[in-house]
Amino acid sequence: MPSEISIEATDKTTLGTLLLTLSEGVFLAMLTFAYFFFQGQKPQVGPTAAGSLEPVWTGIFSAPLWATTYTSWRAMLNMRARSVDTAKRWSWLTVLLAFVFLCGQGKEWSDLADKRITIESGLFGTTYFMVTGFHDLHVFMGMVVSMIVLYVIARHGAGEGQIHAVTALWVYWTFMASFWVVIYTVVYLWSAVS
Amino acid sequence: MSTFTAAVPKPDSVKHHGLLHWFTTLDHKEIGKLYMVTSLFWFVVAGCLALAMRVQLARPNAPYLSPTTYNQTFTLHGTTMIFFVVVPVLLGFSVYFVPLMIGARDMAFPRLNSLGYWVFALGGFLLYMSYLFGGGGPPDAGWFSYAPLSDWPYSAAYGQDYWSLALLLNGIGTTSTGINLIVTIFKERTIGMTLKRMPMFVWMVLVNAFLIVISIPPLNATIVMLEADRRLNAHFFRDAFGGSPILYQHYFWLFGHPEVYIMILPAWGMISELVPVFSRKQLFGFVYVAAASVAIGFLSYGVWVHHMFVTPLPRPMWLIFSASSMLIAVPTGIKVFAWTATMWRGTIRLTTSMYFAIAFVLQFTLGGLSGVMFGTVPIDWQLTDTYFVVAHFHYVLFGGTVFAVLAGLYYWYPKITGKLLGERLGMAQFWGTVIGFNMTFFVQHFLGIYGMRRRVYTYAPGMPYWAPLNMVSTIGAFILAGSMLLLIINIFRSRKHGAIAGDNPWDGWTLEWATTSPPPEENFKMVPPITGRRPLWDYRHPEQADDINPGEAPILRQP
Repeated sequence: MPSEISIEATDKTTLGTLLLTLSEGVFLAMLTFAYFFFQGQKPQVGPTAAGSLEPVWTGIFSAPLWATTYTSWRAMLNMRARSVDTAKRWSWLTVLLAFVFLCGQGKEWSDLADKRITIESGLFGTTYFMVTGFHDLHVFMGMVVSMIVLYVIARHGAGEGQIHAVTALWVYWTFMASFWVVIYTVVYLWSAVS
Repeated sequence: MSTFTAAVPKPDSVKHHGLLHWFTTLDHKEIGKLYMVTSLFWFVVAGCLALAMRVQLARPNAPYLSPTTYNQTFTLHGTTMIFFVVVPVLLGFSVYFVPLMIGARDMAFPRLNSLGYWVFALGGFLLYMSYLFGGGGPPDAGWFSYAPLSDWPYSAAYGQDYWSLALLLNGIGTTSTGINLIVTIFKERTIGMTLKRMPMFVWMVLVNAFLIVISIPPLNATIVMLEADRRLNAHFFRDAFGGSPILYQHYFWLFGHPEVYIMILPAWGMISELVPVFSRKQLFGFVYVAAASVAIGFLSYGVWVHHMFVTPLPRPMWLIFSASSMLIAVPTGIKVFAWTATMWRGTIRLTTSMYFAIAFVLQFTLGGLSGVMFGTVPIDWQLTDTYFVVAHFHYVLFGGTVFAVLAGLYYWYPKITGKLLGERLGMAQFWGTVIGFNMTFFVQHFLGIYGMRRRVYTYAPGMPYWAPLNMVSTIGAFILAGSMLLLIINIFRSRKHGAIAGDNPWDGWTLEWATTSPPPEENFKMVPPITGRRPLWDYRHPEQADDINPGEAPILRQP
C-alpha cells in the first residue's frame, strides 16, 4: 500500500510519533556512539565488555522485545478492523513482552553488580549502563503509554483517535525493537567477537 | 469578504478567566504571546547582566565584579539569551503565525503546545533558582560549559546541575514544539495551500523545526553524560579514566552549530515576508530561497568542527570543515541577494519595520563575513576565544536575529493587538538601537585583533587601545539599553493609546491579514481560497494574480 507511507496518508498522531522516534533515535545514537568510541580504544581501564556480558542470554531475553513489533502491528490491524477485544489482547501481549525484556535486563544488571561492575567502575560500566539504561527507560515509557491507551480504549471504544494511538504505538515499538538491534550488535555481539 | 470558502469549526475548550486563563489556555495565539512576553522578560534580565559586564570592563582594573561573579554573570547572560530569549521568541512568532498563515484553526496538538511552553518556562525559572539554592551561586562555566571545567572537581556547586536541568527542560519543551510545528505544517494546511504556495516564513519554520528535532538530542545526551560524570561518578569526559573532554566539544557543537541556524532561520523568514510587502514586489527567487534554507539545514550538520580548530585534529579535518564552513556561505548569500533584489526597483515604503529589515541585511552580512573568516584555520587560531568572536556572534544574533525580530514585531504587532506601534517612537528606537549596537560590538572586532580574550574579568591599564575601545563599547551598551527601554514604552503605550490598525494595515498578502486584528479564537470566520503564494493579492487583483492555473482563479464562492 504505497499511499500508506505518504505524509498525506499518515494521521497526525502517527506523524508526531515518527518525529519523536527520530528525535529519541538521535539521542540514543549519541549514547551508543559514545560506547562504540570508548570501547574501540585500547588499552581499556577497568572491566571490559568481553569478560562481562553474555550475548546468548541477552539474545534470548531480547526476542520478546523484537516480537513487540509483530504484536503491536496485529493490535493495529485489529483496531482498524474494529475488533477491539482482539486488539486489546495483542496490546496487552505487547506490554507483557516488554515487561519480560525488562526483567531480563534487570537480571543482567544484577549479575553485573555482583561482578562489581557499576557505572563508576570504568568506561565500560559508564557507557554500558547509560546506553542500556536509557533504552530500557524508553521501553518502560512505552509500556506506560500502552496501558494508558488501553485504558482509554476500555472507556471510549475504538474511535478514530484510539486507532491513531494504536498505530502510533506500533511505530514506537518498532522503533524500540529496531534500535535494540543496533545496541545488541554494538554492545553484545561486538563483545562476543572481541 | 464573501469570497471565503471553508467554514472553520468553533473551539470546544472550556474558557477560564483572569490569571487562570493564562495557565490553562490552549489557543496557539495566546501561547505564542506567552512565549514572546517570557522572552522579553528574560531579555531584560540578561540585558542587565550584560550591562553589569560592560560596567566592569569600561576601565582597567575595575573593582565592581569579582572574577567568580563575572564568570557567573557571563554564563547566565549567554545561557539565557540563547536558550530563553532568542529561540523562544522565534518559537513564539512561529506558534502564533504559522497556523494563521496556513489557514489552520490551531496547532496540530494544542495540549502539547501548552506543555512545551510550560516546560520551557519551568526551565528558565530553574536556571535562576541557582542564585538561591546553587550552594555556591549560579553556574560559572560559560554557556557551553566545557568539561572538565563543568565537571564535579572544578564546578562542585549545584549551580552547574541547575544549568543542566534547566537546559534539559528547555530541550524537552523546544523539541515538543518543534514536532508540533512540523505536524501542523504538514497536516493542518487549508485547502489549496500546497507546499509551493506556503509563505516563506512557514518554509523557514519548517526547516527550523526539523533542525530542532534533530539537534537538541545531542545536547540532551551531552548533558546527561555530564551529569552522570558529576553525580554518579561516571567517566565520559574524565581523561584520567580514559574518558575524553574532546568528545564533549564534538557533541556540544554537533548541537551548537545547527543551533545557530535554529536562531536565525525564522528570522530570515520574517525578513522574507516583510521586505516584499514593503517593496510591493514578490520575493525574488522564492524557490531558490526555499531551497537555500533546506540546503543550510543539511549543511549545518557538517560544520561543527570549525568551533574546535584549536583542539588536536588530524589535518584532513581542518580541510573538510574549513571547506564546509565556507560552502554554507553560498546558500546564505543567495538569501541576502534575494532580499536585495526584492528591494531593487521596488516601491519601498520606509516604515520602522522596513528600517529594521534593511539594517538587518547590512549587519547580518557583516556578521556572516566575519563568520567566513573563522572558516580559515590560521585566522581561527589567531582569533579564537577573543573579542573578535564575541563581535562576530553578536552581529549574527543581535544585528541579525534581534533586528529581524524587531522588524517582525513592528510588522505583526498590529495583527496581535489591533493597534499600530508608534512610528515616531519606533524611529527613535531604531536609531538608538543601530547606533548603540554598532558602538557596542563593532569596536569589539578591534579588541579581539588587539588580543583581548573573551571572558577576562578585567585588564591592565597599559594594553594597547583596550581602555578607550572598551569605554566606547560600554557607552554603546547603555545607548542600546536605552533604545530597548523605548521599545518597551512603545509596546505598552501603543497597546493602550496606539492608532487602530485595521485588519490589514500594510496591505499584506498572506493569510494572517485576511482575518481581524486581533484574530478571533477560531482564527478565521472563513478561510479564503488559496490560488497562489499571495492569496489576498490574488483576491484583490485577480487580473494580476500570481501562479494561477486556468479555472483556479478566485471566483466568488459562498461557503
